[in-house]
Amino acid sequence: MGMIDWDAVQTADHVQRGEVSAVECVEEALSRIESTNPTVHAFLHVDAEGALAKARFMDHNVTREAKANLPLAGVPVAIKDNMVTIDMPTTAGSKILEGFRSPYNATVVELLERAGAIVVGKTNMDEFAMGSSTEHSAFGVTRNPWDPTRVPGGSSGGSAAAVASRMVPLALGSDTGGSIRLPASYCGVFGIKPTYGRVSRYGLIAYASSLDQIGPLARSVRDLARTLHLIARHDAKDATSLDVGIISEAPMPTALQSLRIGLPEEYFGEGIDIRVRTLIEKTLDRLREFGADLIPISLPHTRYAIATYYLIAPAEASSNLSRYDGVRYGLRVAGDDLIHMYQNTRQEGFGSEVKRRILLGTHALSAGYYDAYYLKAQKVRTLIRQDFDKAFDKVDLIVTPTVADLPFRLGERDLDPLQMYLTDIFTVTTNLAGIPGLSQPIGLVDRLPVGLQWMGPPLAEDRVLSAASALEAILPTPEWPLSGGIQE
Amino acid sequence: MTNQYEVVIGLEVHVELKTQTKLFCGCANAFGQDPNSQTCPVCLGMPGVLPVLNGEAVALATRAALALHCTVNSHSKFDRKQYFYPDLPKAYQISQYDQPLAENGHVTIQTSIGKRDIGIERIHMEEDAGKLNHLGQRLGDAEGSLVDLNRAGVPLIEIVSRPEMHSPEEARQYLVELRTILSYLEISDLRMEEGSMRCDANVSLRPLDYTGSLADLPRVEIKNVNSFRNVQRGIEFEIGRQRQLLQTGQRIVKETRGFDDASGSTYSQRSKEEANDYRYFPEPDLPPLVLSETWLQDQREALPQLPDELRQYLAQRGVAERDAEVLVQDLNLYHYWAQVVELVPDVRLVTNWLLSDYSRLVNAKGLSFAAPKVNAGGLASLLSLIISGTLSGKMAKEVLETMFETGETAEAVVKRLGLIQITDHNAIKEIVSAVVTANPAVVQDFLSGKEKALAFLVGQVMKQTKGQAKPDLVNALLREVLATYA
Amino acid sequence: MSAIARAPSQDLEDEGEGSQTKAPFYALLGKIGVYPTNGYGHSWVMNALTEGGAGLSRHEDQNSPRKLMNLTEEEVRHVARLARLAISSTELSEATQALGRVLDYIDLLNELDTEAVPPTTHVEAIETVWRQDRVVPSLSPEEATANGPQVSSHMFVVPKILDGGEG
Repeated sequence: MGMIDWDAVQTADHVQRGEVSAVECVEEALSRIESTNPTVHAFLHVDAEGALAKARFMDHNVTREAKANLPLAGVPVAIKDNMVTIDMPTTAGSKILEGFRSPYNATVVELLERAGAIVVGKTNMDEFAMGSSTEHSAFGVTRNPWDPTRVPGGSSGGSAAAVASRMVPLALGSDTGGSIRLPASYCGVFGIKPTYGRVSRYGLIAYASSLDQIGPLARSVRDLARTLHLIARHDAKDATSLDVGIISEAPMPTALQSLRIGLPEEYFGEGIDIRVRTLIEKTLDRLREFGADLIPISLPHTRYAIATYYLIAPAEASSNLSRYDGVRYGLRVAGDDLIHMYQNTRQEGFGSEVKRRILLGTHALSAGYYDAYYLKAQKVRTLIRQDFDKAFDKVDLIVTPTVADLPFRLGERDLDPLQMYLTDIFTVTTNLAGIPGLSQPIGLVDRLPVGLQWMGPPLAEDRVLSAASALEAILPTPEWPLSGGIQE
Repeated sequence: MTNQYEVVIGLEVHVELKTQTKLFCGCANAFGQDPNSQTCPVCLGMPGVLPVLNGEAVALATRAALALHCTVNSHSKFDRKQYFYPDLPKAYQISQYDQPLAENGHVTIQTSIGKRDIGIERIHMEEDAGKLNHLGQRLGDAEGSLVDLNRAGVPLIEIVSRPEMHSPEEARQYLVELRTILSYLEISDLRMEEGSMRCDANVSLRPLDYTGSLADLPRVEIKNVNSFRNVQRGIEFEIGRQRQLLQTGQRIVKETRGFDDASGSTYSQRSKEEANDYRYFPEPDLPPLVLSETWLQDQREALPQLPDELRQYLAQRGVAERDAEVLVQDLNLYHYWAQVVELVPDVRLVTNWLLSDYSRLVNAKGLSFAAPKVNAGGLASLLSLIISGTLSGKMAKEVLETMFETGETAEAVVKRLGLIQITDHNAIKEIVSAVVTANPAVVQDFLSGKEKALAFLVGQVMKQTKGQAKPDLVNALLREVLATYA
Repeated sequence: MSAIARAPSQDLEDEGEGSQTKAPFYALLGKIGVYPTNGYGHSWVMNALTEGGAGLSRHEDQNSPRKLMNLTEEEVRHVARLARLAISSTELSEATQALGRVLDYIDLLNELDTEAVPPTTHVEAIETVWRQDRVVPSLSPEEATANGPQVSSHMFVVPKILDGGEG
């Protein structure tokens, strides 16, 4: 197994033992990016010189003993472009932030760098994380490394594609309605959205503040655990950040025996792609063989989740995106007077999907509609949370498909935004309830990956990671795309 | 139809809190600094930033609410108020909408028919906006504006009165009393000219035969008036303007009007079609604010003596109401007064001296009681000399002036100028006899019934003693000597 | 294999990038239960938010439902103005249609009686998070304005403001 196949833990272990240098790790990543990124277009920005300089610094200035205390020593990581970085531009996939340079680092970036990780670049995403395909970036689409005619999922499609195509072992994404788990599933990697409040949002460009969470994408469960162990820390700069202890660095695979796994009927209806369904059922059989107790449950308000989400998220987004006004940073398009400058800037700076959501959200909050839309959605959100509360009285974890189908083709769902919105039906519920959700690759059908989603009660990341780790151990080793180089 | 109207006034007062840092970030809350030198990613509204509430601002706001007799809500929350303007970096202001910090308080004012409580509807916390410097004289002529965000994020409280004032004078009194109360708390600089206290006035005229809801009356808001006097002028103008409109059968349009200092008039500021829709919604970045009873008790205990309590105390000490009000309105003066009274328990003497001669000197020299030129001990010594009879009132005034000029103690001035009052009976009698002998004609006048002649003789004695003879003693001895001539 | 061939998603794939992909996808979602099976663009279960206010019953067989969510171009124009977006007339009609469909879908929520349900504004059970009143160094004026599109004397320059205030 070559360096390219190492996960983050293996990479760090080798660097800590002095068997490879940080520079070698970064060079490996850069060369893979150079060969693969032109096809996949996972990265918006690669800072080769900066990353090499940091790697050199580590190799020359950090002692072996000090490296032993760097859990991600020399690990090249990619950061979704909605997390601000001093050393690299941050655009959130939007023209309105083209050229913007943040004067501060996101807390997660600081924490990763402090742990020895080396940020090599910023990954592509749907503009302001609004999308499920990474087609809605102002800087071009990202392609699925398994089939470049298909989408990688979104909005963290760049991060998922970068990890799947082994440009980097580890990337950060953000998840507002499924934006980590959906691309993880479509690209065949692991991705977790932690409990709301676990990871600091300071420096994450807000889409929907009450739903957004940062999480890792990786090629092993232990990488997710190690990363969460490092970044799920209380942060005084985020008032919604929880101070609830630290996630275990290396969760033990849980004994599947007597693990009560809930299967919500609403997530196993007839409409799921039969190939996805078959593979999920095969995997459930494996879990049952190992002693897991599969319990049918109901989450009756699932049916309302998308409608709820598409009121709350756009409403908050319309507010969060008001600051892009051409005054202090980013794009400015001239106008005869202030209001025309505002209008021209925002009209040209935002893409059509972003504008659509701003309009929807503004409408949902406007005079006379607030109660019928935003307030109503917040109330239904309560019902959705209560569904989970009740379910977790009966079961330890819940398993569902991550997404109902296989990666769709580029452009396929462009015609109707609603169609795109419905891609997130199995993932939005955890954001609305604030609970952790993990997507795990369980195999391929027709050379396309399928993901299984674990959901757990609030703060039960350890339990979720342990179960995923147990399943990982009984499934065949995942395959990775683009193994034989790029085929056109 | 009637031509009789009741004036209905409600005031919204914004007060900047004097914290070390801004409401949601650690930037210094400092006035008059270089443009954009007190800013950080948070108050610049950079991508990715989050607000973190300043606990001290909540404490100061709570004390204001308690001092204004409000009920402090144990549960309140923050909301986003959304509008675009270059001084508002995030294009929303974090404020409190439907669950404010405090509600239902009052300010007591003195009217011609006695004391009256003006209700306070609510007090909420919010962040201030930045400042625009217009390139050009007026907003309308400006080619553009420069944005300085030093003030963006400074903590504010907004105090909303009920529409319970009925004259410009009542509005002024409400403002004066409100400012007095807040000044005791030391939570704000309260400078209207620097914008640390700002006032908007809502004015409407209610026809006396109108029985509908006050909220339905067309209301005009006069915004951003920069002094109490101008609040009063603006309201006066507005009453006249509205009355004229009503009397000529025209409608009053609900609008916002500015105040023009030079002409003393108000002018329309916002077009009707730009009706505001602030799209308030709960701030997802800030958890709800829940104040424990223990914490609230701490705030209650941190309250200083308040103006009404001081008024009661001064009345008990026998200070006349008028004098008491002067002390209440100037806490530095009161503290000085209290120190002097501690040393010289003659309340009347101290009050009289302080409010007349001492204040006159302080004002004439442009000084302040915050850093008195003559400290309380110094004045007390001077007053003791009057009480002991060492100095006459007139002499004491001269001594005080010298003390102000040279910074010497009363004793030192007296000693240096030899200003001891002559109280020696024999010494004065000797001079009195000499004066009587030297002025036979005047003595004759006196003896023939001209009382005025006595004053001349007193004057002569005082002249010879350089004014140091005790006046009542001189008087008594003169009469005694003159009696022997009769 | 024949079972797979009949699967809705297989239909979807077969249709490629054509414009007719919508129908099977919606059918699929209808089966999952998140999307009304009677198609979109029509109202289904309406609630009492529509009229009268008193009739809070939510019977599936309620007659002549009125469209609460129908959106006019005028409303979208108003919302675009509030959001400071200068949308073109083509965009306006597209947006009106697209948003109308989304709002029609969202109408689904009116199946639920939420009268007695408290809203969730924060999913976490935390409250009263505040910090010490301690000064943290600010950016320099140069850093603060480094990203400004137009800056003069360390201040951001904006074009002339025509109407008097915010709004």
